[in-house]
Amino acid sequence: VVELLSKASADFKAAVGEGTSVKWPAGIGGKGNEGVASYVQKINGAIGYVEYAYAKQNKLAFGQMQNRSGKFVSPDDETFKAAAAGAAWNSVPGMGVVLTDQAGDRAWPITGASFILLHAKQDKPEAGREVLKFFDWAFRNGQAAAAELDYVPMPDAIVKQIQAAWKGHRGCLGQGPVLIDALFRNLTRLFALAVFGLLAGILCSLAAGSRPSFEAFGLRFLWNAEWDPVHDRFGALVPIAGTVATSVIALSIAIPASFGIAVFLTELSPVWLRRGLGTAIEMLAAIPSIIYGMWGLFVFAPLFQQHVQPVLARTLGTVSGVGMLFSGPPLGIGMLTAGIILAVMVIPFIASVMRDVFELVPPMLKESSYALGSTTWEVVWHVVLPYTKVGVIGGVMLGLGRALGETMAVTFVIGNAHRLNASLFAPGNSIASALANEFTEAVGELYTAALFELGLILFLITTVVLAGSKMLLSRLARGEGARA
Amino acid sequence: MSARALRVSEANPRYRRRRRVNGAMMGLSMAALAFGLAWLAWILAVLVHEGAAALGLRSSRR
Repeated sequence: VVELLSKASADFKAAVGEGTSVKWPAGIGGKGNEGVASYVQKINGAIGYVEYAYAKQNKLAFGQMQNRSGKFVSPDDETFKAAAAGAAWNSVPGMGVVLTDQAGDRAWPITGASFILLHAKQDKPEAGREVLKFFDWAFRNGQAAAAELDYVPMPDAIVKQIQAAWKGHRGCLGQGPVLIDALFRNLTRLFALAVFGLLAGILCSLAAGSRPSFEAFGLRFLWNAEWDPVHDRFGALVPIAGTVATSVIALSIAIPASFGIAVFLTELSPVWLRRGLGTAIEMLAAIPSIIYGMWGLFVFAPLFQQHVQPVLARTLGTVSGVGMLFSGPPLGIGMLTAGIILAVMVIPFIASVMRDVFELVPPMLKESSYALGSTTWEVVWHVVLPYTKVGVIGGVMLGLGRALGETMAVTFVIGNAHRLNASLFAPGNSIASALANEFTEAVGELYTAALFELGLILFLITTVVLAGSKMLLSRLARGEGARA
Repeated sequence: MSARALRVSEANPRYRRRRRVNGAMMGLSMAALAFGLAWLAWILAVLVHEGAAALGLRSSRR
């Protein structure tokens, strides 16, 4: 009403204004149709404006109004439709046309349309499309229901304009995203399945390649220490033992070192130094493995042979029980050297994961513990580590996976000898280094098949380790849930 | 000295032990970082030294 009166009178517009909040000079405001109708009934000479459906259903008395064409019209379906038909719907973005004072002899001057507001760009295009489908259904099947409720259905011409406007947003809501979404979904599904396909392909090719060896040696291949290409006798015990031993040595050194590094970076280091130190540790992972191998062979092994192995042999070598691990001539290269090089290689992986998960501990937990008088170590041991144990185990498993499969660095320093020896000073072999060293020179079906079988064993060991870690993590998570 | 004051004083053996353990662990933590950085520095130093020497040898031959 104020919209119409403001259009009709500049004085009214200046004095009262238009919009949702106006300055009425006199009168009483009623709340909703009921409130207005109630006041009009009670106050002598009062007039009010209520919704047509309410006036009709409650049989209220109403009057005519003069429209823009100077004609006096009554409120009814016909005059409302005339107002809607005369409006220039596309003149306002989103068809937000105010239907007051529309042109047309039969147009009711204070008609209002109901609008539904939708985001043009939907976060969930599927939901947006369903909403549009509903309104499309409502335009086709709901017009009769609107008339029953004493609302005035939109004229067909206007409905066509609205539906045409929807096409402008098809990219956001319509058919376009259906196709793009389906394409994207199926493409990502294809990539995910391709990983399984690739794994299955690798497994099948390894199994097929190792078949002659499996037929010749059976399960004995696993615990046979012999490796004799001349007489075609092969066993995987030495490479398996070398792989396991070097990985165990690597993790024995890398886990405490990485834990210490992560503790220092998160709890002790000044803030300005954290980033630089963290990056420096991560740079260890950026060094190519062949550099580790060369450096290990030409720099580390000679120094280790001259200065460290003799000391270890004199001290730990004499301790009963572990003495045999540090006995024998100091050769520089060997299982222990390979394990140490591997440890340096996996430290950045484990330390980075540990640091990241330590930083996720809510400060409130740590500060509560400090407030109770805990030392830094007690906070780390009793608060940080229990909170992050799943992530810490994940980081260790990541390092173990790297250690099991590492090839070049180990090949340089492990000694590449197919001999089983209790001493860690002795040269040995790992599965990866055996494959790297011998695959190009393998002649004969059985020799190649034995190497394929080694590859299959490495694949299975890695799979078992990863599966075991997943089970351990899920068991831990279940335990946490039960405790919670 | 009250019992409460004794609990957090140097005279309390448990407090002294906790502080010692904390100091040792923080020392080990720093040592671990030094351990990690030492390998990096060692490898890089060898690479730079040997690489630079090889480059110098080559240019002097030219």
